[in-house]
Amino acid sequence: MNIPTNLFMWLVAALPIAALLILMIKFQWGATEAAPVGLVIAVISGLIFYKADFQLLAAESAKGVWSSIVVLTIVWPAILLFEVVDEVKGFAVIRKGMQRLIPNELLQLLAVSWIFVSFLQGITGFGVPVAVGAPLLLGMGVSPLWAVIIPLLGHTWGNTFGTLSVAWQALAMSAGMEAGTDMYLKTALWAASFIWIWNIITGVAICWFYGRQKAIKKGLPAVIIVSLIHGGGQLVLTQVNTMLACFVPACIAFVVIFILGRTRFYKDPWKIEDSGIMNQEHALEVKEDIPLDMKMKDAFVPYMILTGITLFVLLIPAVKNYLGEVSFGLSFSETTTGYGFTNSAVTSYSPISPLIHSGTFLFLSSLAGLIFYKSHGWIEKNGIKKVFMRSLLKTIPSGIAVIGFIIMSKIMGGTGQTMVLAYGISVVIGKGYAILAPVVGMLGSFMTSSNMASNILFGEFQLTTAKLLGLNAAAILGAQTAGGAIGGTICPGNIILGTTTANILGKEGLVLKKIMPITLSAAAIVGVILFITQVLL
Amino acid sequence: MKEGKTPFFKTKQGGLTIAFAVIIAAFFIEVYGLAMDLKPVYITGFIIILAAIIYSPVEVYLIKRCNWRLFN
Repeated sequence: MNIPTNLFMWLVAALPIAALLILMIKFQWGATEAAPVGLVIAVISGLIFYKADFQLLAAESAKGVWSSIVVLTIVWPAILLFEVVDEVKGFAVIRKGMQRLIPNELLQLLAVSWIFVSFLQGITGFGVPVAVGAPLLLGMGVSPLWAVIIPLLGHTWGNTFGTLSVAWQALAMSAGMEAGTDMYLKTALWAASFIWIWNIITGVAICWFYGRQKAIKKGLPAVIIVSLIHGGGQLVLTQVNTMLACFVPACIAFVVIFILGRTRFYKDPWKIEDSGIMNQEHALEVKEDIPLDMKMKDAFVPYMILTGITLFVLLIPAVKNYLGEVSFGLSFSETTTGYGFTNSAVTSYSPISPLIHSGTFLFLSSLAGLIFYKSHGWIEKNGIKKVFMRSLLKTIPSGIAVIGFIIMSKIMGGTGQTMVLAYGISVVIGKGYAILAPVVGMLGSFMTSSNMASNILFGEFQLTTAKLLGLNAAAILGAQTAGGAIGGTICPGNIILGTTTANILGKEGLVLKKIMPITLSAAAIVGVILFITQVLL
Repeated sequence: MKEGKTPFFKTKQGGLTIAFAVIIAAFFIEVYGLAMDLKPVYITGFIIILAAIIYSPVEVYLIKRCNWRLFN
């Protein structure tokens, strides 16, 4: 690979991302309008400056559309699930039930936006926590913008070791680490330590957004206890079994939050009347809509089925392996740019296994929910048709944005632009690279909308850079995956998923604007800790 | 069609639905062209995908604004 790594090429590579961020944050363009602009810039840069040919661009765009289909087959059933529960006014029932079980409103919020979504992340990632969490919060009276932001923040600590640690396995594979070796365990320790910091930050941030100092004062004991379970539990379990390192603590925290709701400190009704994130008008409306004979467990039926199916299929290896045999992906030939940057041939690119795909679990849960609610007479005439139509009409606009983003990231990756961005950072700042190592992980996550893909993209790069600069490879790799997890909050795919299910598609810029300061600060904290421990000490 | 109600495919949502369908169709053309190594075919598919994706910003920020300026 002979891509010239100079400032000009670095700026050219940065241009699509800069354009995207400026259009979305400064000019408040929606993702559907901003993503195509970034894509066109990436195509022109790729053709003119990175010497890509049309075959490469066509191949990468085809990979992008295929990957988008994988994402959209989660988006649509997630929206369908929301529409099913919404059709029967189930969210009003859930809200009333939560108020009874956990009278403290802040604890309710933490239960859904931090703990329940983490539980979902533990078993099935790929945006499902946000797609399920945002509508739940909406139904609980959280305003739409915050119904997207807080689960985005709340679930990403689980990105690396959640989903049965696929992102972690991707890092281990990419960096050539074998399970159980000294390097493997040390990297896992560093990763879990950095992620614990992020977990605490997100818990405190949710309290802050809810009610500033007053909410932090009230919520801090719960945040500390839950974080000890989440972050501390994960830290310990990474040394034993990485596959369950997120799932087990997430399950325990899910139980503990209900116990906390019964303690003297939290058992009485408590809320902040003028909370900036609650939609009080919505709360007033739902009081008249509650079906009298529906209990909270009835409203939760589709979610219980979702959890049951997912656990059954993904946690039992024999079932997962058997059902996972049905799989298909596309094949692509090798492509190379004029600078020798090569994309290897692949016989089955991003294979979909429909029987173990999260979208299938969501769809089946939605169907089961429809059957259950219909049998109880809670769905009106033509209600089922309306549910399907509404879900399709919401999914399609977001589909264009998802396709635009993913093709852009594929073209940037396939032409070498993403690699130049990461390489340029390391060349320019030498050992100071330690501060920006998590930012590289974040960049990967932002570009690919996936912690796993970020680890695949940059795992080997981070290892090579660490060795060249004489830095602790385990610490740098830990920062890579922690940065990738943190970056999950700003990745366009997750944001679009949230804005679509919360019915505020077009507000992605506003979401980014609110979240970016926290995300960048967290990455900076991890980077500074890394710098101090690896360079100064 | 109710009087005064815009037909679905003339709304923004309808336009995006058409664009989405065009992208999926073009995707199959592109994949076929790549598999058969037919350059004109995969380039055509690629250009159609690009055109369908940039429909939204062009429609919102160019066509509608030009129409607004023409008629106001």
